Order: sequence, then structure tokens, then C-alpha cells
Amino acid sequence: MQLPDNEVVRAITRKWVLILLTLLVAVLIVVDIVLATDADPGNTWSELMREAAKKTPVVPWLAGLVVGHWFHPGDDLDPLIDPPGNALVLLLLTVAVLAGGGVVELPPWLPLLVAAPIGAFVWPVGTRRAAPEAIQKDAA
Amino acid sequence: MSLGQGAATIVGLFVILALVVADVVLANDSTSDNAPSQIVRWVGRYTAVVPFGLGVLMGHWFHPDDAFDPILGARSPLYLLLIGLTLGIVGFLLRWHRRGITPWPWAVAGTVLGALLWPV
Repeated sequence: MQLPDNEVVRAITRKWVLILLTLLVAVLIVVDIVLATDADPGNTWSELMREAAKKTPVVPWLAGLVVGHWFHPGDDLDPLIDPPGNALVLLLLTVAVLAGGGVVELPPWLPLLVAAPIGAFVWPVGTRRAAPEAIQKDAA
Repeated sequence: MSLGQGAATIVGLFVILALVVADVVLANDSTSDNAPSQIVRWVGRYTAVVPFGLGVLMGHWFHPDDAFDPILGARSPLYLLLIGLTLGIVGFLLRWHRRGITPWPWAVAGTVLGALLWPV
């Protein structure tokens, strides 16, 4: 059973996390547009990110894990490996990918494509199913 | 790796690590379902715009080939924006915000369209 103030805390946290994530995306887009319209070619954050992703797979790999973690299929999906074993497996895989990326130049799409299903099935996030409206009624 | 590429990598890493740290802290506090991942998943279940938008960014950054040009020409990103707006409106009309949706196909669709219409 949830305490009433827990719902209040949850609503406040949810609001601030959404505000911060939206601000983050907005700042990235604005910075990118500003840099895309200046005199120097190839200096936008997106272009730099893509070039860096060719040198090291760390960002596409972690981004793939996070996307799979967030948008896995099925709400009742359990991790294929029980915690904390799944965290250890993810850590070991990350070290292996980083080491491999130091030896072989990986195309940026490959770590993303491999990491997303791993994030989905080894690290699926679980959360409540209630629709926003139902939660608002709970809070009231 | 140039200074700019290093900075982009560090910013990308910082964002992901900040999310992971916030996730671990908030997943283990006394309030349930308030970690950023749980909130993103929860929001993504009631609007396709969130998984679609994040997918677009993935396709935009990590598309398969540097030689890729937007398949619909210079206006392609504008079409992408229109698709996103249409998704938001269609979702509202179909009451996805009450019924819920499966988010992963929208993330996949966003990734494909981000690569085809807005490759960096």
C-alpha cells in the first residue's frame, strides 16, 4: 500500500524528470541548429558525436542499452539473468565492446543494433501500468 | 579524436551516466516508480512521440553510411517533424493516452526514419 505523500513525491519527481529530459533535448537541438548555421562546417554536436562514435563505440553501445532498457517489448518482461548477475554481465559486455572498439573500428550502427536487444532482455525496466488519468485519480 | 569529438563523447557519456546514477538512487528510495527509466517507460506507453523521438535521434546519429543523403531532399527533416506532430495528434484522437500502446515499434520506426530522413 502506498502512502498518500508517496504519490505526491512521485508526481513531483516525474514532473521534474520530464522537464529536465525535455530541456536536455531542447538544449541539444538549439546548440545543434546554432552550430549548423555558423561558418565552420562539421562542428555540430551531432556531427562530432557521429565522428566520435567511429573512434569509440562507447556512446552508441550505451545508448542502445538504454533504449532497449526503456522500450523493451512486454510489460511483464523479466530479465533473462536475475539481478545482480545481469548488471555484471552488462559490465563485462561493455568492457569487451570497449576493448574490441579499441582494436577494430566498428561502424556506429553496429553497437547500437547489438546493444538494444541486450538492454531489452537483460535489463528491462518495470513500472506501473496505470494510465496518467488513473494516477491523477489515485493522487486525489 | 579531435577536441570537439572528445567533448561530444564526454557530454554523451555524462548524460547517460547521470541517467544511470539517478536511476539507481531513485529506484532504491522509498517512493516506487519514480526513477527516470520508469518514468520514460511509463510516458512511452501513453504517447508514441517519446519512443519515436528518441529513435529518430538514434537513427540521426548512428545511421549506416556517411554517404547517406536525406531520401526526400533538403526538406526531409521538416517531413520528419510533421510525422512527429501527426503522431501526437493521431495518438490524442485515438486516445492512446488512456488506452496505452506498445512503445518499441515506434522506437524502431523512429530509428529507421531518422536514418533515412535526417542522417547526420
